Amino acid sequence: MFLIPTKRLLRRRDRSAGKRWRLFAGLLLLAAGAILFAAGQLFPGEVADARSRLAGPVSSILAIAQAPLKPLFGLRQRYDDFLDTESELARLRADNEELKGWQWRALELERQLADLSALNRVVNEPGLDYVTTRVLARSIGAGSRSVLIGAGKRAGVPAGAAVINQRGLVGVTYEVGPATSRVLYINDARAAVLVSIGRGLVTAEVAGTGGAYLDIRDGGRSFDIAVGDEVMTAGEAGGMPRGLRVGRVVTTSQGLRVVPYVDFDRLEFVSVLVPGGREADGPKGADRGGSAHLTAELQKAGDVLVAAPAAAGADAPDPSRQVRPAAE
Amino acid sequence: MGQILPLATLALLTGVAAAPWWGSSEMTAALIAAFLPAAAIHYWALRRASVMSEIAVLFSGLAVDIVSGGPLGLWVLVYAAAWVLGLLQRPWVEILWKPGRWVLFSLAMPVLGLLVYAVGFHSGSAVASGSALLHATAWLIVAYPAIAAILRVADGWRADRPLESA
Repeated sequence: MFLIPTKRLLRRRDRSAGKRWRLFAGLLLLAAGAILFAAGQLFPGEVADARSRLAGPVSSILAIAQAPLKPLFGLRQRYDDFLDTESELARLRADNEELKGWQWRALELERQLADLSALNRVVNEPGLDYVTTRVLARSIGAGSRSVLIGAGKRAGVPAGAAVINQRGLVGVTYEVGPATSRVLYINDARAAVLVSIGRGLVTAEVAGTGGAYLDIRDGGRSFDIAVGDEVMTAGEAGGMPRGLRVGRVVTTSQGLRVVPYVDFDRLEFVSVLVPGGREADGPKGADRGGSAHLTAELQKAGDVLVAAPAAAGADAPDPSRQVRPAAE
Repeated sequence: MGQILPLATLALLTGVAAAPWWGSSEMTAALIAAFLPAAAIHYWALRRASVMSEIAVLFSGLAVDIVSGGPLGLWVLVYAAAWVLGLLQRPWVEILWKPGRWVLFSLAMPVLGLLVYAVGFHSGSAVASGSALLHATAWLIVAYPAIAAILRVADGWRADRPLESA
């Protein structure tokens, strides 16, 4: 007779204890978060290193969770593509006509350059290999414009390497882990690139603003710069190669600025430029001999590939000119 | 199935939170995605806290922290705060009418937004602008009934189902 109320009492006590324990565990969780945050502030180098090591395995696990939803999110991109198709087609036709004219001139100039190089014994620029890989995750931050990509030290990627796609310069690598690297976009507030602007090749620095535009720091020579001028990398010793497309000069309410060619919201594949001759552990030779486009191969393989330039022979063109960046 | 559903939804939303599909310049969208696991954690804390593991909450936050490149511990703190707030608000669910959960989430969400802002401010790297956080908070509060309805349907729709007694 007295058993039932006693049982109820015990059950209620158990529930109360369970509730208290759960709350205590929740507070422990908060403490764990605070400790992690403090560790990140006190030991930034070690934490960045540990994070770059863990980023590869963690993003692989997250990719499994993302898989069921990926087609859903692809719909938005397809819708945007559909809207853009008509104007893109008209633009491409016009570009094609223009390029045909330029092709003839380029061939002529190439022939002249080859003749002059032979006369002057010009030393060729060192070649560049590239590693094409997928964007794994993006950053969450107001001023932070960066992404995690699926190629790291094992694929021969160094810190500070230029990252491009078919449209132009995307950014530079940092926090390079064994299988992943973080790419700082050129429009990140911490990024700055030495560039040549327009036909006058005005050397200036473009710096990210965290927004859609890049600031031009030209040392007061803006009178040499005009709206519509093409902006290309000027090249830096041991880092950024010369001649990568960055963007175009536009006028804004804050004066002349650069709008990057790359659409940072729609990056799926990027190519990391690595010094030529660097040996990598990843599968090589997918692009040897100028075979099919690397991105198509990648989409099938879903893996990191290291492409070497075409076999160098007496008549082989300069390998640095053969860099074919990833399609978006 | 009922036992693993909270963990499965948390894993799925953690994947969404870190996915690169949102675009890097759409800060509000990225923040909404990052707050989605917090919404799910808060929902399960109110509904079925016993089947949600604290370790899962920790790993979810840690995973987003590792791949998102922000201050380490930020999303662990946010998800843990969502969990603790949900647990603290539990007694109110039994008192309030059903949309009461929405009210409770609406009270919890600004706290989480402020936490993100404060941690970003303290770390010296603004995680999100105030306006982006405000927009994300508002969007999530508006979207919460839909999120809750999806989770409830997945859990088995029984309108008269009593709340799990903790």
